[in-house]
Amino acid sequence: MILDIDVKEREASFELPKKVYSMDSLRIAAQVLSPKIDVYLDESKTAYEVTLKAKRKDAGKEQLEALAGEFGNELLNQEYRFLVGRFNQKISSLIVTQTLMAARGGETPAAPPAGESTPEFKKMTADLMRNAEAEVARTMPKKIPHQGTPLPPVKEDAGV
Amino acid sequence: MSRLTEPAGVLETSPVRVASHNARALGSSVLITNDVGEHAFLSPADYARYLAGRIENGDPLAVGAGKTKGLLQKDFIRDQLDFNHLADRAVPRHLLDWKGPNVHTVVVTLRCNFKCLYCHASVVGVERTDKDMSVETAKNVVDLIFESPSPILMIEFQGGEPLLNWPVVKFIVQYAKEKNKHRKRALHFGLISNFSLLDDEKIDFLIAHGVSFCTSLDGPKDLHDKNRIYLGGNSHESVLAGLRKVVAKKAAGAKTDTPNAICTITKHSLNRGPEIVDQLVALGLERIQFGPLDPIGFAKKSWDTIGYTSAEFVKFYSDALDYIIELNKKGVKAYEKMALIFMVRILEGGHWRFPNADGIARLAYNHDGSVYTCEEGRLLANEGDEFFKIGEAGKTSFQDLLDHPTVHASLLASSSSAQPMCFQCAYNPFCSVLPVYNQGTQGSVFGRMPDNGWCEKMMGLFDVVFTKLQDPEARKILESWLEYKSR
Repeated sequence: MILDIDVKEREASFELPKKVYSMDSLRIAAQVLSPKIDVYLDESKTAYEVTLKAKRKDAGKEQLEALAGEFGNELLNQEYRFLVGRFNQKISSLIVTQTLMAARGGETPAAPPAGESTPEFKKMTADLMRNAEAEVARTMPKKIPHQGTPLPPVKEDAGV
Repeated sequence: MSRLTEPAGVLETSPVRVASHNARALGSSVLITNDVGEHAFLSPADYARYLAGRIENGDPLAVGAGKTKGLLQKDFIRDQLDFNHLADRAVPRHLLDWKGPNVHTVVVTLRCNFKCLYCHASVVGVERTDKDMSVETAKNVVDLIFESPSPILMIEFQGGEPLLNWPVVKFIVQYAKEKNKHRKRALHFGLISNFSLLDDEKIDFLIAHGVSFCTSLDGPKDLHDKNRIYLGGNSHESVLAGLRKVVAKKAAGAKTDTPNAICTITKHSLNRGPEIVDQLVALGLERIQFGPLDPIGFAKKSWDTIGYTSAEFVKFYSDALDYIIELNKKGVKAYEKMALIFMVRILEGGHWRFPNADGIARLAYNHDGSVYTCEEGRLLANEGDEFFKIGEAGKTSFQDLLDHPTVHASLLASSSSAQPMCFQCAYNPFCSVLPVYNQGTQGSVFGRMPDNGWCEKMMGLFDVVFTKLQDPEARKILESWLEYKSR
C-alpha cells in the first residue's frame, strides 16, 4: 500500500485494488474506525481511492501512518470475515438459530403459574414491597454519612 | 499479538483418514483438537504419520492405552467417525440445548464507599441515593429473571457496593424465594461485596437465605490498599474482618460455603504471585481466583498506572499456577478457578456452570432496570456506548430481550465458526470470545483477532495449561481439581 500523507490536512490517501477488496468491507471498516477517522472514497475502473482524515487535530505523520495501518488491518479482517462467513454460513446459521430458540424457551413462552395470580400471592408481594420501602425510608440516607464526591483516578506518583 | 502456530514443513494429507481438526505447535509436541473438544498430543513425526493416513486402526496411537483414549475414540480418524458420539458432544458444546440465561447480575446501586483504581463499575459517591434501585424496579427485575426458562437461576448482587442498598437486596431475596415456590427452579444467590458494611445481622440473614459470599482481596495489605481505597476506613482490614466473620459462622455450624475472594491483578501485582497465593491459603480459602484487568470502562482511564500487556499477565499466571501446583504437591489444598474452568472444558468437554454467552447465558440489570447482555455491557454503557442495552425490566418481555439484534450479533460473534482466525485455532473448542471486549477496544463485536488483547491473553493461558497437561505430575493435580467443580 503506497501512502500519500498530507499532515496539514491530517489526511492519508491510498489506492486499493477492486479485485481484492469489496465495497462492503470498506464501508464496515470505515464504520468500525469512525470514532478516529472520516473516510472519503472515490474510484477508478480498477481501484478504490481512499482518503482517511484523522479526527484528532494533533495527528502527525506517525499517527496518520498508524491509522492507515489500522484501517488496512480492519479491511483485511472484514474481507476474511466474509470469506469465513460464506464458508461456514450453514453451520453458523444453524447454531445461532437453534441456540436462540432453545434459550428463549421455544416460540411460545410458558404461561405464568396460576399460584402467582392468587390474592394471597399478590398480598404477600405488596407486603414485601411495603416493608422494603419503609426500610429504605427509615435507613437511608440518614445512616450513611456524607463522604464527598468520588476521587479522580490515582496516579502512581501520588504516593497512595 | 496472537498467533496461530502451525507444525513446520509442508505435510502430505490423507483425505480418507484425517478428520477435521486444528493443530498448534506447542513446545516439542503438536496439539490437535477437533470441533467437539477432543484433544491429543503427538510428536511431529507422529503428526506427519497421522496426516499421511499411516496410523492404522490397530496402532497404539489409534486405540489408546488404559484410560487414555486413542485417536479413534476421539474421532480424529475420518473413516471411523462415530457420529452419535460427535452429536452428543456437539449439542452441549454449541449450547444447542441451552435453557436460557441462568446468571443474572443485579446492580442494586451505583453507590460505593470504595474508590478502586481499576473499578469497572463506574460508581458514584455514597450520598447519591438517586442511583439506587427502587423496590418497584427490583420487583420488575425479579419478574423478568423468572421468565428465563433456565432450570437454574443465579442472582448475583453487584454494585457499586450492594450492601449500601440493603433493603432492596433483602427484598429481592425474599420475593424471589416466594416466587420460586411456584416456579420451582434451582435458585441461588451470590453477594459480591467489599464486606465493609457486613455486620452480624446481614450475615445471619444472608446465610439463612442461602446467599453465597464473594469479595475482592488483592493480596497483602500494601498491595490491596494501593488498589482498593476505602473512603471511610481500612480497606484490607475490612475485607479480612468480613471474611473472618463468615468463616467463623461456618465453623460454628452455619450452613454456608467458604467465601470466595477474587484477586484482581494490576501492574503492582505482577511480581507478587506467591505472596498473594500465600495470603489466600493462610485465610483458609481453597479457591484462588485471579481477575485480569481489561482496558475497558474505568480501568481504561487508569491503564497507564495499573495496566499491563497480555504477555505480562500470562507470565504472572504461569508462575502463580506453578506455585499453586507446588503447594498441592506439599499437601496444601488449593486450586485456581480459571484453570478449573479450563479443565472442565478440556477434560470433560462441557461448561462449568456458566458459559460466557452474552444474552444467552447471562444478563445484567442496572439500578434503573435497564437490561444488558452482560455486566461488561452495562459498564460500556456507563462510558456512553449503549450497544449492549437490550431492554428494560417492566417494559420488555423476556422473548423480546432474546430477539434483540444485539443478542444475535453477540452470539454470532461468539461462534468460532464465524470468526476469522478462531475457526482455525486449536483452542477454539475451549475458548470464549468476549463481544463486549471487542466492542470496547476495537469498535465492533467481532473484533480483529490478530491484534486483539483478549485473544492474545487466552492463547497464552491455554498454552500454559496445555503445556502443564503434558507433565504427568502436574496433569494429575489439575485433574484432581475437578472435584471442586460441584462446590
